[in-house]
Amino acid sequence: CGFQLRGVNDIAFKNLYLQGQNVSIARDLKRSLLSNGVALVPTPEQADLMLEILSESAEKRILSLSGTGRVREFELNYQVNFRIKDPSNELWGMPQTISGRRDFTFDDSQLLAKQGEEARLNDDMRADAVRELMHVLSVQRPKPRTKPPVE
Amino acid sequence: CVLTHAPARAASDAADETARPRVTEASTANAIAAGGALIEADRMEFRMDRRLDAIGNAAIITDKQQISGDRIQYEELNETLRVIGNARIEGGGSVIKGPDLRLNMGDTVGEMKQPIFFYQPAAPAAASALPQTATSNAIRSNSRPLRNRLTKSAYDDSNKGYQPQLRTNTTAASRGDADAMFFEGQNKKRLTNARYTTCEAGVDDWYIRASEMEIDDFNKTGTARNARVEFLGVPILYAPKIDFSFQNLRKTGLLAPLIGTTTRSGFEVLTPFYWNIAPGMDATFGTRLLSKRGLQYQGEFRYMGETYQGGNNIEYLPSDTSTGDNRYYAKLQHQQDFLNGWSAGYSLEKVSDDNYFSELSTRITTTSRVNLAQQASLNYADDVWDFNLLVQRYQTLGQRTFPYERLPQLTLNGTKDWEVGDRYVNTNLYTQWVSFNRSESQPNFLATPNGNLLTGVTGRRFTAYPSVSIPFTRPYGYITPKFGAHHTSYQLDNTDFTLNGVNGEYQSGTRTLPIFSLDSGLYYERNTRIVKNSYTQTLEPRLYYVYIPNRDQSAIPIFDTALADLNTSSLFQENQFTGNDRINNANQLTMAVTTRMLDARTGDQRFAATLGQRFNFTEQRVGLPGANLRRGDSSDIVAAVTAKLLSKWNVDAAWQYNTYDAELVRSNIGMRYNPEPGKVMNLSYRYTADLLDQINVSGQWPLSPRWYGLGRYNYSLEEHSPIEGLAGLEYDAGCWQARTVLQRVSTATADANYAFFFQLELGGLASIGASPMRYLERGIPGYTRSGEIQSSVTP
Repeated sequence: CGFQLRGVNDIAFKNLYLQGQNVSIARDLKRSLLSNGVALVPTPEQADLMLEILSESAEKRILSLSGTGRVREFELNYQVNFRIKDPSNELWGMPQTISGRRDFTFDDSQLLAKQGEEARLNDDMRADAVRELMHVLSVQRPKPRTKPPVE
Repeated sequence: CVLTHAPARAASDAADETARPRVTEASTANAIAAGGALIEADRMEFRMDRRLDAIGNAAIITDKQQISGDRIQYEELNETLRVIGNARIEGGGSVIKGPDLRLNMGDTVGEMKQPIFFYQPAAPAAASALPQTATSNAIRSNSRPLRNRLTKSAYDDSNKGYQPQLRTNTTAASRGDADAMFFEGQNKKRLTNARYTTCEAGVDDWYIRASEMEIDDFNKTGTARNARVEFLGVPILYAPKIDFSFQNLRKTGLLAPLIGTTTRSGFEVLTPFYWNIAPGMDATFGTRLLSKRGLQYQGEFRYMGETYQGGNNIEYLPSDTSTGDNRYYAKLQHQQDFLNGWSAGYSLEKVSDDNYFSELSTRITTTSRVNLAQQASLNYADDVWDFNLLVQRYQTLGQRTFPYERLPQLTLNGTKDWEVGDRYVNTNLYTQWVSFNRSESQPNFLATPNGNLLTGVTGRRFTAYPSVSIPFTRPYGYITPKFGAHHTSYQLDNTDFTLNGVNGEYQSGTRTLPIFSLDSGLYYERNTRIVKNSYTQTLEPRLYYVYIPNRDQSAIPIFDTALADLNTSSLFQENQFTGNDRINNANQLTMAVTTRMLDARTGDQRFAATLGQRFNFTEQRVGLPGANLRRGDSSDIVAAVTAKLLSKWNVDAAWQYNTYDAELVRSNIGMRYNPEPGKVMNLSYRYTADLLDQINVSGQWPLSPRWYGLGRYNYSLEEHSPIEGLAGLEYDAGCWQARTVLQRVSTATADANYAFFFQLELGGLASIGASPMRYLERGIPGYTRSGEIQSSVTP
């Protein structure tokens, strides 16, 4: 049916410049990059690829109520916005979004356990976002720099 | 101020009096930029070298403004000018017109009779660059916590009756008129018998009328004294002082009152007052008159800075005329970032009685609340370590079950990658120590499928879980073995329990279990085309194996543990229980496959579907007290679909199917159609066996130009009764909006409450998000306030 194993080659870049690190997934993203053999460089000039995390947002909403107005389900939403720049390009790419959604049943008589479940789903949702972001990065094939960096 | 030679040159060119004097563009620009003035007219006359008369289409142009009129007389000696006929001053985003103007160019002191003035809003980009606006945006979106695990997972929704919503994005033009305008220096103007509105010319729907009005051009603000607000010719508000802004910056002043009626509290009027104390600090005070209860006082104080944010919210209703009690609600909150990895915060909430929310609030986010947290935390995070100290207890309303107090809970979690040869080895250490307490008067009561569990057990629990995982990763797939040892020890008090009438005793002791798991996945891809768009379709099979030996855990109490929902996340967890009181025995394999459609051009995910099931090679032996164990050797099948279609449809669906009993356990389908702001339709059906069976319809839709209909209906098919109902109507007249909302609210601690609210919002003057608005944002996902629709469509 036409499916093929993805990119038999390794990630095509070695040095990444990461901008906007004040987000909850920054640490996991850095770890994931390092374990995939990508080094984080301190200046854009040294980078083969640039990634900017623009923003993130998280939200918790009541999803459904019982007939007596008790919460029966909550919904969690997480969204991270980012953009990528190839050093051979003058401009940043279009902003892209990765979003995740989870829901879980809720019971006031199991409050602490449900808090634990919520934390687990939040972690899982963020881990998913990192995985998806790595997916987006791993298919990047940045062109080599056309001009050497300005001295 | 020195006049340039421009007028003299103009005069010398004006030999032919019918020709309009002109100077070259370049010299004009130079003269004006040098701080001089340029005078233009059809004809100019000099009187004894002291006075200049510019006659016919006369204008004086400086770098700051342009003054024009039929005839301008300029006295060079005292720099005074007079404009006779069609006087007009333009500059700095404003235009002032009148029949006559006297002005001293030196100190900008003067007077204009019968002026009409117009203010243009600053460009949105410029407005957002102002520090004050930036701060106000920040304080509005302060939901993102500092680096704090505690608040990240805590459900925070305070009982705010109102919250100023700062509409910095809607910078409406404004205008007004007066009997007279007095210029009092560079940026100050005073008006007598003035009117001010944001309605466009020719529309006189509302006005502020004031015997005296001051305008500060530098700050773009105005103050009306001895003022009243007239709406459609009817005075609706008197105030000794009203502040307003030409740029809709946050401004101290009265906010729009909210009028309504509820079955529980009767007719009510909320009159809030907003105090913009400083950038990053504001307060709102209000009185809320409730016909069945009396006068409630509300106060909210918010602040935020580089490293901290917080808010204090207090409501007080002295001697409720229905109950005779003093009733109150308080919430104090603070978050502090110490910037070296450490942060801390507290959140304390208390309410006077169990029925406070159900009787005095109409918002589901409040009325559904049963547990109010009183907690403080201290956190540390660096690249390896995470530390959290939590002290937490709850006020529980109208319940038989009380959550444990955690006094305190200490959690230390460390993760580090080690380079071994050409790969990385990940090590993780999770440790936690908790002291679970409860008050003597609050025994633990838990309803289970096989009778009730009753116990007063308390205790201290220590957990340590070191683990090592070795990821083998390639772009086309991965395989990750993980080994760990989970150790727990308990020291318990009050160890007696009764389960379904049978007495038993919990035992202090330790439990150590090895845990092994193997996670693996592959990525397949192909390119495909749907209609005219090309997509990358992925196929991602995943296998997840877990082995944990069986250990009898029936003598361990339940402090913070429950069975997690089965879903595409929990299928890939080692332990199906959350919390540390139960570790399931496992010899199981989860098989799942995910397929995604990614837009080949943008990388956006348009569609994803997952199907998964867990297969067990051993029976379930570890369970919760009184709960049924699994029958059959496989879990329920779980399926989930999410789609973002180009036609503005969003679809989210999930199913859980029990193969052993051949019945559906969960079925959720949600759809949203949101073609543009102001047009949204939501439709969902949610079913969970023995818990939920309901439909939900909500939406906002334009009915005709200016009219928007709002609605939400939530009906329980299980109980054959409505849960929530809402109907509303919004009218957007451009410079004002009116909305009415009728709603039915089921409450957690009492019978349903019916409420009706009316709110009038005058553009740029009083815009607040009062309770019905907050309700609408929750009740109708995707709701946009009608006053913001146009501004969001036109950039």
